[in-house]
Amino acid sequence: MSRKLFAVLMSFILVATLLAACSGGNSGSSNTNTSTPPSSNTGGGSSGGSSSGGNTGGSTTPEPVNYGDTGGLQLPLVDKPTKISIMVASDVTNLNDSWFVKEVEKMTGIDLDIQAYPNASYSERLNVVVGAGDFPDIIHGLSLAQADELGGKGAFAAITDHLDQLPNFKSLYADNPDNDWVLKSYSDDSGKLYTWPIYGLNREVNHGFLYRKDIFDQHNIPLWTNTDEFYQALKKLKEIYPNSYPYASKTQAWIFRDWGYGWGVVGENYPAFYNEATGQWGLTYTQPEYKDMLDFMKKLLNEGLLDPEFITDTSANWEAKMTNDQSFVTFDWIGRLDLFYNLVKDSNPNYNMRYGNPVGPTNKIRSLPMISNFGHVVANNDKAEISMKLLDFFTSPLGAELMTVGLEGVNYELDANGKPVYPELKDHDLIEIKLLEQKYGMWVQGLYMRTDRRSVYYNYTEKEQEAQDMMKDMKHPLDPVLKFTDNETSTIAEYAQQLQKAGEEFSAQYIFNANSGDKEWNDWLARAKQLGEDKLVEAYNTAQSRFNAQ
Amino acid sequence: MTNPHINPPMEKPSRGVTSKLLSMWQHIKKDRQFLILLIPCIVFYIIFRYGPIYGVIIAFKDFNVYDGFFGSDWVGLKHFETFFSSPDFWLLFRNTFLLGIYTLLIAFPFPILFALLLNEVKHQLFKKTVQTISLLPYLLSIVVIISMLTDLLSPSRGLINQIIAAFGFEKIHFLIKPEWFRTLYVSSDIWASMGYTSIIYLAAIAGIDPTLYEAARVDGAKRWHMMRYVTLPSLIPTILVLFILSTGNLIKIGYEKILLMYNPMTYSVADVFSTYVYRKGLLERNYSFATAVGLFESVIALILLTSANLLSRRFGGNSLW
Repeated sequence: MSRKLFAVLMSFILVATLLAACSGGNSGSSNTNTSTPPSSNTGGGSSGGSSSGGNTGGSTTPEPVNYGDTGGLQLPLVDKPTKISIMVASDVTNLNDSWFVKEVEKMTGIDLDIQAYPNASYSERLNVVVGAGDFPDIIHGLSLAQADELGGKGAFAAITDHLDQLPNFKSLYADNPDNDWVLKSYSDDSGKLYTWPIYGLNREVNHGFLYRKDIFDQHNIPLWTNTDEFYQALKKLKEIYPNSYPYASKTQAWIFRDWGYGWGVVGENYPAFYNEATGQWGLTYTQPEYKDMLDFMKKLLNEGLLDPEFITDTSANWEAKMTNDQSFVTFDWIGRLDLFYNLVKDSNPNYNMRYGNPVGPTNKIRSLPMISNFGHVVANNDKAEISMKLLDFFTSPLGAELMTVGLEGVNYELDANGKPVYPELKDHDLIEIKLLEQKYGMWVQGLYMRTDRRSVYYNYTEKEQEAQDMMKDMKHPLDPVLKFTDNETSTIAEYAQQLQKAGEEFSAQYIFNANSGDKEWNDWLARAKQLGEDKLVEAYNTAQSRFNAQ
Repeated sequence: MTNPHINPPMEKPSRGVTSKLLSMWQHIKKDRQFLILLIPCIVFYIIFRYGPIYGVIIAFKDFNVYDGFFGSDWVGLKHFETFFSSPDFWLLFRNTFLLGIYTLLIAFPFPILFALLLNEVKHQLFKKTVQTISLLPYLLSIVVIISMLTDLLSPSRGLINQIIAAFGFEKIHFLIKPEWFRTLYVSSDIWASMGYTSIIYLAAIAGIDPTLYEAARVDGAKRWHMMRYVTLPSLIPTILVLFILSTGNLIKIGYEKILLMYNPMTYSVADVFSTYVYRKGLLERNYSFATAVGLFESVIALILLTSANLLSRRFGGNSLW
C-alpha cells in the first residue's frame, strides 16, 4: 500500500513541477516591468494599464492646443477617443504605459494599442499575422513587392488616395522635388502608393576602411590618399612585421562588394549597378574596372599583404587578428573603432583605430540613402484615414521630435551646445536609443517615421565625427530606386542570385590562382553571358527608361 | 508459457460464418485496450503528418499569404521547370547526391564499430564515461561545431596546420580547397553523431541472448570470433533497418551546415539544392518554389527508400515492410 502511495505521490510531484515550470516562466517575465516614467504631464490619470478609450486627454478639447510644428495637421486628430493598433518590433514590455504613448494620446486623441514583438521573432510573427489575414491597423516589415501585391488585392489602404489629408507627407515627399521619386519608385503599377517611407534615419558614414593610427604613426607611415599609397603602406607594414598580414577581413565574399564602391562598380542593387556617366545599368562582375580591382587584390594576396583567410575568417578570428597586432587595416562598420578599443584598452592603451580614406580610383565611399523603406502599411479598414493621419503626425517635425528627442522642458533640455540632455537619465554614462526606448517609449521600430537630427542617435563619438568630416564630399551618388514589373522582378530574382554566386566564385578563384590573367577573364565574360547577364541588365535598363519617362 | 492473447491456429470463430473479416473484428475486440492506447498516436499522425500534406499543392501554384492555399493561382509545373532548367541543376544534383552517398556509406559503419568495441570493454566506469563523453558532440549546435572546425583548420592559427608545419610539411588552407570539402563534411558529421547513434546499437547488443555467447565459448570461440559470429549477425536486423531509414534521408542535405562551411572557392562542390533554394529565397519569399524543390527531394527520397527496402527483402530477408 505504501509503495503504491509513494508511486502516486512521485508522479504527482513530477506533474506539479512541470506545471510550475511552465507557468513560472510567464509570471517571471511580467515582473520585469520598465518603471513607468513620472507622469509629469497634465491630466494625471492613473499610471497603470492602457485603458481603451475614455481617458484623460482623449476627449474633445474646445480649441486646438499648440504643441509644436505639426506641419499643418490639426490636433487633436479625432473627435472621439479612437484606438489604433500598431505592430512594432521591440524588446521593451509595457510600451502602452510609456510616456510616449501617453503624450501621443494627449496630443492627438488617439489611443495607441502597441503590439510589441521581440526583434528576433518579429518577421516570423509578421508572416503569421499577414497569413491569417487579421492584422493590426498599422504594420511594417513587408517587402515592397509584397506590400504592393497585397495592397492591390485590397488588404491595405493607398496613401495616394488620401494625400489631401496628409500635409506632412505632401510637403516632405509629394511636393518635394528631391523626394518625389518615392511616389514613382515605391508605388505599384497603377500608381498607388501603399508603403510609407521613413525619412532621415541613416547616419551619413557607417562603413569604411579602418586602420591602426598608432602603428602608422609609430613607423611614420602616412595615411593613404590613393590606391598606390594604400599599397605602399601595407608593404611597409609587412616589412616591419613580416609575420603579419596587414589587411584582414571578416566579410568573406562581401569584400568584393565593399571594395567595389572604390572602383565605381557597385550600388545598392548589387550585383547590378548604375553607371552615372552612361545612364545605363550593368553587372558588377564583368566591368573592366572590376578586373582592375581583382588584379589589385591578387597583387596584395601574392605579396602577403592580404590575409588569405579573408574568404573564410569568422568574426572571432578576425577580431583576434585585429587586436593582437597581426593585422592593421580592415573594412567594417564604424562602431568597431570604439568596440575594438574597449576590448584592448587595458592591455594596450595606445591602441588607436581610426577611419581611413577610401581605396580605389574613384576615391569615394558608399552613401546611405536619406529615405528608408521599412514597409509600413495601413490596413484597409474603416480607421484607415485616422491611421494615415497618425503616420502623418509622426512625419511632422513635432512627431519626429517627440519620437526621437522628446519634449523640451518635459523630459529633455538643451545644453550649451544645443544638444539634448535628459535630467532623469543623468546617472547613465551613455544615453543611447535603447535607453530612451526603455524609459520613454521613444525610438521604437515600427513607430518612427522621421527623425530629428538633434537626437542622441546622431551624436557622433570623436572618432565617428572625424569620419563624418573626412568623408563629407566623398560619397558615391545613390543609384535611382526603380519600380519593376512582376516579370522584371522574377527575372532579376532568377539571374541576380546565380550571377552573384558565379561572380563570387570566379573572383575568389581569380585571386587565389597566381597565374590567372586575361584568358580566365575572357572565359568568365563568356560564362556570365551564358548565365543571363544580358537579361538581368536589360530588366534594369527597361525599368530605368520607364523611370526616366515619368 | 502460452500467451492467452495468441489464438491457437485452428480456433474457429464463435459465429458460424468463417470469413477473414470477422476474424479481424474479433482481434480488434480482443486487443481493444492496446488499440485505445494507440489512438492518440494515430490522431497525432493524421493531424500533424498526413493532414498538412495538402499544403504540397502550393508547389503547383503561385502562393501568396493573402490569397492563402486555395485562393492562389495555379501555375502547373512552372516552378519545376524553373528548377530543372537552371544552369546549375546537374551540378546541384551531383553535389547533393555525392554528399548524401558519402555520408551514408562512410559515416554509417562508424557507430557500429564504436558500439562493438565499446561492448568489449570490461571496465564499467570507463565504458560509461566514454559513452557519455562521446555523446556530447551531438548536443552541440552546428554553428559551434563549424566555428570550432574553422578555427582548427585555419592556416595561420589553427592547431592542425601547426602540427603539419611542425612535421615539416607545408600548411594547407583546407577550407578553400574543393577537394577537401567532402572529407571535412563527412568527418565532422561522424564526429558529431557517432556517439549518439552508437547508443542504438549498444542497446541492440545488450538485447542479444547470453546463451548464444555461452554456446560459442563452449565451442572454443575467442572474443574476436564471438564478435564476428554472434554479435554481428544478431545486429544485422538493426543495421538493415537503420540503413534503409538513412537511404531515405540521402537526398535531404540540410542547408545550415553547408552555408556555414562553404565559401566562393568551394561553391562547385558544396552547393546543394537547399542552399540554392535558400539563396533564391533571399530575394523573394517564394514559398511555392521552395515547396516544389522539397517535393522533388521527397519523391526521390521515397524512390530510394522503397528500392532499399525491396533490395533488402530480396537479398537479406529483413526489411522494414
